[in-house]
Amino acid sequence: MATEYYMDAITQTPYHANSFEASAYPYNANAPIAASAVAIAAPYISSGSTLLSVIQTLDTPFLVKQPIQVEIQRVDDAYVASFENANLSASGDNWIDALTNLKGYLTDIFDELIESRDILGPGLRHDLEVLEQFVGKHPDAQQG
Amino acid sequence: MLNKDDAQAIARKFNADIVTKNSTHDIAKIFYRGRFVAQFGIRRGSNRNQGHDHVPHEIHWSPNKCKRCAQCHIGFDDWVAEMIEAGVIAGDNG
Repeated sequence: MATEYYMDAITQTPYHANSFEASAYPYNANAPIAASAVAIAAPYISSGSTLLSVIQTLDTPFLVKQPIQVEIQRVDDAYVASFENANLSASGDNWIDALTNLKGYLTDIFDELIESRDILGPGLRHDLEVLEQFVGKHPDAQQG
Repeated sequence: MLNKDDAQAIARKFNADIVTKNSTHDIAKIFYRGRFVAQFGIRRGSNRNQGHDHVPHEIHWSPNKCKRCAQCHIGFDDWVAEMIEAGVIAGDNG
């Protein structure tokens, strides 16, 4: 039976789905990642399990308008982080890596979709509409 | 598991434009009849065995179909037909 762990949105602390006990290894998705953090965090997801995390900040000049819920799953030896509503996913060698990669990928895609707004197909037009509810750019950055 | 070779094979079969920006994933942009209809990420780096299991989610296809596409059993036309039916791509009337 799959064991699910979730990431507390406020404290960024992983906890077990059944016990709701906070882990002894709190993880802040927005903090610089130390190698030791990767080492202790990796065992949290077993194959077939899902970890929920929340992105609350992005690199400048991007803004998070509302917290972005991310699902992270282990697939064989890799990890996939997904923002399901906007159909965005990225992979990594561990779940922190996958989450970090998704944050960077998300901003790249946001720019690409904005630039291509006039030629988007229905699927990507929907994805951009969703993305714009969660992500924006600092007003000063939009001038250029 | 889908690896980097699989992702690159799909990008080639779909005639995707590869865009390199700031993140660790290049963007494979898929076009159909002049419309930008889908995208997926290809991880940078020399490791050919890097997991790319995010690709099925991004192009709305099952892992099995992605693998078969990479192995040349099915192709872009099959994907387009399914995406039109799913509403991801506009068909002749769109």
